Amino acid sequence: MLERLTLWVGKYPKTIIVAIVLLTSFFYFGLNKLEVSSDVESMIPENDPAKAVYDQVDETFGGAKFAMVVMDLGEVFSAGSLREIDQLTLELEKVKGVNSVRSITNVEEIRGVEGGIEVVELIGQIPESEAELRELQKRVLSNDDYVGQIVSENGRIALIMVQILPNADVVEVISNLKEEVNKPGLEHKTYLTGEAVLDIEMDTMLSKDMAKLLPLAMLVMTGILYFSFRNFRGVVLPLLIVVVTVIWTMGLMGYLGVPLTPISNIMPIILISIGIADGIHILARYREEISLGWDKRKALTRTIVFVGMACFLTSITTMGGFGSLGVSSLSLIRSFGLFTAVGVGIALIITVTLFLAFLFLLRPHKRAFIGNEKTFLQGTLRKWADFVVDRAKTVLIIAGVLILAVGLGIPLISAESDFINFLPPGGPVRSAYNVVKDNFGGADIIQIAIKGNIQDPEVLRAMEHLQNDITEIEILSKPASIVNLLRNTNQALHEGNPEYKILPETEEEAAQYLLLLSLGGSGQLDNMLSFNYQHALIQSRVSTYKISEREKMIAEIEGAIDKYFDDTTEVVLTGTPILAYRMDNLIVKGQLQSLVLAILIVLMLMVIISRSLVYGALCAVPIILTVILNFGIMGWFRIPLDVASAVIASIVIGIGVDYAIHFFNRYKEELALGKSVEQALKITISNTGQAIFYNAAAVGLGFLVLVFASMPPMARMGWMIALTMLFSSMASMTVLPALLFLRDRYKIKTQGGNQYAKSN
Amino acid sequence: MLNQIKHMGIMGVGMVMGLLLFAASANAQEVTGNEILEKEEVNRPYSTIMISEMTIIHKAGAKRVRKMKIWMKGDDYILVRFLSPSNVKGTGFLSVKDDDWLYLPALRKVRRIAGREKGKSFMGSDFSYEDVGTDSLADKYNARLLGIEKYAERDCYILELLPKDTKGAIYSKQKRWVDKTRFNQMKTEYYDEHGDLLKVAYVSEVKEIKEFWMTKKIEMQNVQKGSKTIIVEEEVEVNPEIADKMFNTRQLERK
Repeated sequence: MLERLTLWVGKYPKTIIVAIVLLTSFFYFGLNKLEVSSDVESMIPENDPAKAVYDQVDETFGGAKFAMVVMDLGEVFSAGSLREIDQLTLELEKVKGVNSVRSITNVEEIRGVEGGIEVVELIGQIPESEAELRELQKRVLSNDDYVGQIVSENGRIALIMVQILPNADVVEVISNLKEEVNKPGLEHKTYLTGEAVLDIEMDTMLSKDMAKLLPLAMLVMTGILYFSFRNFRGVVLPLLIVVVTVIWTMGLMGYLGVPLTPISNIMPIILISIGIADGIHILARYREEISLGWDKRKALTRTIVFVGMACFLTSITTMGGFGSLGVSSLSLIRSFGLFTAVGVGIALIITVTLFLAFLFLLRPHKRAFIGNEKTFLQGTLRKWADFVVDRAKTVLIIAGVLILAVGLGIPLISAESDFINFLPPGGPVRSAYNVVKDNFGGADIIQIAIKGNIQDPEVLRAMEHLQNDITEIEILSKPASIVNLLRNTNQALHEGNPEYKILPETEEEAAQYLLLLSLGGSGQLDNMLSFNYQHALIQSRVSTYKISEREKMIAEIEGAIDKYFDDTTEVVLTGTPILAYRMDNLIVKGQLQSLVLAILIVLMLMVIISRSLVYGALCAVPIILTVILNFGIMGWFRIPLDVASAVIASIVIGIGVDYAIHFFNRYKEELALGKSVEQALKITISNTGQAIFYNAAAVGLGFLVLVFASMPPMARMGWMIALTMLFSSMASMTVLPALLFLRDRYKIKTQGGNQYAKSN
Repeated sequence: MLNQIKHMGIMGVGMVMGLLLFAASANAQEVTGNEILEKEEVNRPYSTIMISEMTIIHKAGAKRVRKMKIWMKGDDYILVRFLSPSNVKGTGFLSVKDDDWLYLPALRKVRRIAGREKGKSFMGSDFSYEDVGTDSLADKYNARLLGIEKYAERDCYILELLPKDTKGAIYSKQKRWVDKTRFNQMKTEYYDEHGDLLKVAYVSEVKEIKEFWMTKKIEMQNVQKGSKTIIVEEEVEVNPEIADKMFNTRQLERK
């Protein structure tokens, strides 16, 4: 079949090239339709309970997502500072997609006065005199409704909370907010932060990185290809494969309406590193055949017949590795895995059509570098082959000891992940986050949605108890809800007597207080209580992204909910921190499932390829060792199992298994030609070994480009994949031949050759 | 008393003008937007007593229904007594000029309340205090006649209202359909500070009571939030005698 394909390509090379060019231009237009999606919430499965309640909260309370503006004023209580806050507050209110803005200059206060009650702005007119300012400072800083909420305890920093409308385009809103915050004319340092901001910041960083790293990856590939083949065509043709592959894959996504996500951003780099491999193997073998004296047509046919199957199989295993991500419950992982798999398939198609057609059209190069007896690499590989085959047992013992040592690190892996580490330290976003964390107890808001008769004093008291418990949780800020507002109202209605800063005792009282608050048209009320009094919200800020601490917090809150509420009231914990936690969990768990699936797929393919359980298992040994190494390194280097590192293993399996396949394929071929086991192994190591070396170098160095990414986990992914590729290719050329040698040396003497061997 | 005279004066002028308009038949060119707006305001009774049912319907479909009895007199006096739901029954609200009081039966106390603002939501509904208030639109807005259109089978003037003072204005623009012969509002579009459509009010039922065309049912849709509020006026009494002493805090405390 491969022979027929080659003959067909050889017959119509020009037609094939024209057809591929036309198809490429078709997919090129699909690129325009490609959409970018970075809304984390939309990536969580709809059936997740926290997600469903989040959506409900979002709708009921006019937005569950907040951005925060931090103003480092030095002194909040000066006329200039207050004016600045006021001005920015008003400007932020005008930004499209913003529902409400809360700051010290527009927050409302319920005050008890002689014979009456006032629901007024905390600061009506901005005071000018020093005495008035100091009086205001005293009043605000002694009230814990404001301290650590909108003003820092030391009175230096002000916080503006911006609520984003449910259906708003978050990316646009954040970028508009950013523009307001960075507007010249503001005298003090002002930052924008919050989980939505961090998400978008990360996306922007990722896209920027990719724009920078993609050309770098191409440059690295050029270098590797030049080093491998030392001529123009050896560089341009494989690069052509990957460029066309990326256009087809992304164009297809565009036509199918599959959006680009933060993760799929790295797809082009992956496709470039992987897509080049088949070209390298084919070109290397082609040169080897030419140097053996075959003419172009014959050499190409032999190349495809011998290497083509390995290319096909390695593409299938790589697709299997990425395809295993398709079982993830998260759409962003799923589409990343499936489309990378599709891309790998496309690369194979382009290789056997466009690439091959060009080889048919071009005259074979005279100075075939690979296959040249005198290369240093080949010399080294020969010595290596001798060592591996002659001292197979020693090789296995050394490998075993190494793997054991590294593998001992596996128990040290922690599932701790701190999202904040995804941001480069020292950057503006991270410092803004730290300012909010230190002065306001965090930039992320958890929400506890309560559904029931909120005016019922029993429910209100349960909320109060829950809030008291939450106050005790270290990573949470003082919670706010309708409870606080009702206590303040009660106090205000009793001439400000602090003894009445308690919840109303009867439903009538509560209902009438709420009526009073709604008469003022208080915006604060809308963020805490649904207008039909059936839903209430308790909100608090979380000061950490650490998974373990968030996990503990969730358990504590859920415990308290069970303790204080009965079945008539439905209470659910949600908010972006909870969703992020759920997503992280889903990714890590899903990844481990994908990992097992990937190993099974690869093992199965190996068994099918080798048509033997034993050989299949032997061929899978290098990749299994590589996976052990991968996790061992994670343990020793204290790399947590998080969203980024969990994806690595599946990628590694899919790509890393290729070397063993190429190796085994050539080994079988040499045996079929009548070589002894020893000879076959040595020929394979010194010939296919070169291609494996270049292939691993291409993939490894391609991924290594990622170390220049600004996000630490991306950089980590870069060096980890590079390292595992190095190890996997080494294992395929040491452990695998050693194992094959030990198994086959007595069993296989000489066998008859196949049709090509005979026709020699 | 002064108010009453002032009001009657305007009413008189309005009636004369109305007659003149009638005489000029359909020649709409001669009437200006501001005149129509003033005429619409003249078409309000001096005092009313009514029972009003307010239903707020959230985007998701949940409802809140409140029933209240309202006494209104002139521009300055409003007394509201809540009838239902039962947990707020008896709650009273009094507004005299710019001062507001609230009576909470659960506390048995009258409290003066401050802090009401025109642009804010009226009791959590889609109406703002300005929308339901008694303040004159003609004082705040310049009206321009855009044309005449049939709306709900009635010939209506279409007015464009732009705030005279943009700084204190809560809407950047209103587009108002005013019945050409009855001079009552039929539909109004409210535009926010960005110039985007914010709310639309539809009058779906009117009733002539003592020569006044009273709104019986009005629906306000907030197109941005997706919520709506329906107010149905029941048992409307037009121009009853209401003594001024009705509008004091002692009256508020009475059940």
